Amino acid sequence: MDENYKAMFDQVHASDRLREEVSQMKMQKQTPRRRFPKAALIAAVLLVVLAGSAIASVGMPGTLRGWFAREWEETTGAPMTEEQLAIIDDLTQPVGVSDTQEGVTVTVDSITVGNSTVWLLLKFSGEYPVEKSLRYHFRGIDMTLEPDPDQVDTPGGYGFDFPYAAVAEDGVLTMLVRFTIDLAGQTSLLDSSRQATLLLEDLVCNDLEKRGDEDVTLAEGSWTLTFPVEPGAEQAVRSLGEIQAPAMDLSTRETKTIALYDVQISATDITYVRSAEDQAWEPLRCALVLSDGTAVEQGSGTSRFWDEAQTQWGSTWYWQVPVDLEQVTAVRFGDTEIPLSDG
Amino acid sequence: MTEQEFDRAAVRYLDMVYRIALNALRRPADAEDAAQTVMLRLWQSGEGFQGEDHLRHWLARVTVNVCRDMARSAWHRRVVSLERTTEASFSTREQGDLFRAVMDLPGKYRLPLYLYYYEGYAVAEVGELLGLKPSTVQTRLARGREKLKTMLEEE
Repeated sequence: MDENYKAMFDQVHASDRLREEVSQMKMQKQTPRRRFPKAALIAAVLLVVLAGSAIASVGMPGTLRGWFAREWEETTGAPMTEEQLAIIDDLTQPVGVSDTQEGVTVTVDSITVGNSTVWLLLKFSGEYPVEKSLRYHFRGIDMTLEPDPDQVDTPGGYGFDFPYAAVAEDGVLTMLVRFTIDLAGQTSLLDSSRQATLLLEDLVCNDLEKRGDEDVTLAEGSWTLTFPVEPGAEQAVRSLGEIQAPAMDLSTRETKTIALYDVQISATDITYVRSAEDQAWEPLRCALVLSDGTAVEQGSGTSRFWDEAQTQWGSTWYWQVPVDLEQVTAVRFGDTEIPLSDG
Repeated sequence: MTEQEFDRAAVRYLDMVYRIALNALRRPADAEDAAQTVMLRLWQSGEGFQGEDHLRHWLARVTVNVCRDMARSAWHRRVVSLERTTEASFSTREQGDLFRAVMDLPGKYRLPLYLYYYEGYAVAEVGELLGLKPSTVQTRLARGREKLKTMLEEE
């Protein structure tokens, strides 16, 4: 195997484009190196049996409803209203599917499904170290949806964020995973029922205060969880058609006003298109303004061509929490506020 | 690090960084992103290296960590056709088959195999780079080889 394997990898090289980009890096400023103390991770950790035991809680909510309410209060400064909670309830569904590997059981407790996003609340039981300062995650994660909601033949993608992973109020190690997918404005996860398969590889952790330190493997294994993703109650979508928004060329920091087309606002995201000529011009940070004056900012986002002719550069930005569109009075780009007409 | 030292490091080690990233992430586009991040960290690190071995080991270690971070919250690219354009071309069909079989191995086998068989790291060094016990590395090397053999026999 040795010789064939070596001969094969001898022919795998970094591309000329990558070499060119690396060569250009010298234009960037060098910064002094930061040094982190070496992690003394395992020594600080107690091995406990989680299932059914009382563990010091770090106070995070153990439900999606609770987590969204807390997140809302932290980001807007105001408690979540009953109307907002009702939207969360409409979009959230219990799941209760589990898989056990190497003594660790992972359960998809519940999910909140939006236009192009799914929040997954995962619960754990089994034997592994529990410590407040540890950051838990998986070495690998992937999720497929069947039927595939992405119907567009241009480069696009999907990704995962981990808003939190900690021992929740109920004493159970809990992980919130957010799946987002760029559907090029063509389809929605709320269109029809789908089957999701979540693949998780190796439960690991590292120390919150020592970012960059090595992961420590807590449980090796591959968890496979298959569950339905059902569209919740039908949600309103606000269509703005064409608007003018301030935008910045990130390489020169120049600003100008550009046209955004097909602007659609859902409870979980905003999508819009700009012409390919304006691709370098990134609209300023977007937020929804509510009737009580609070603002819900965009979180992560993604862009891709929405058509194979590559004339329409479309973007999707995800709200940090689902929003009741009945309460939205305007959309804001930078300091420019665009009022929404009723209905 | 001077510009000259950085250029020399890029010439010598960019292929290694890219190959480690490719084994870790599988997708050429993601591997290129990771390699760029690693080289930027090298340029910005201000690290003084005590010889070639130190530099090479630092790059291997940082590449493994960058790939780990990327896999944790990676933006998964779905379209295969564009990726294929950046995939290596091989002088024989057998080598192309071997490459595809390697890339089809589960992630946890690819990187130990590469570091051990191509980069020539000892089992203990592979374990140190990947945060694994030497016995786990041994197991993964054996299982990885076994799986690869089976896959190639089935083709």
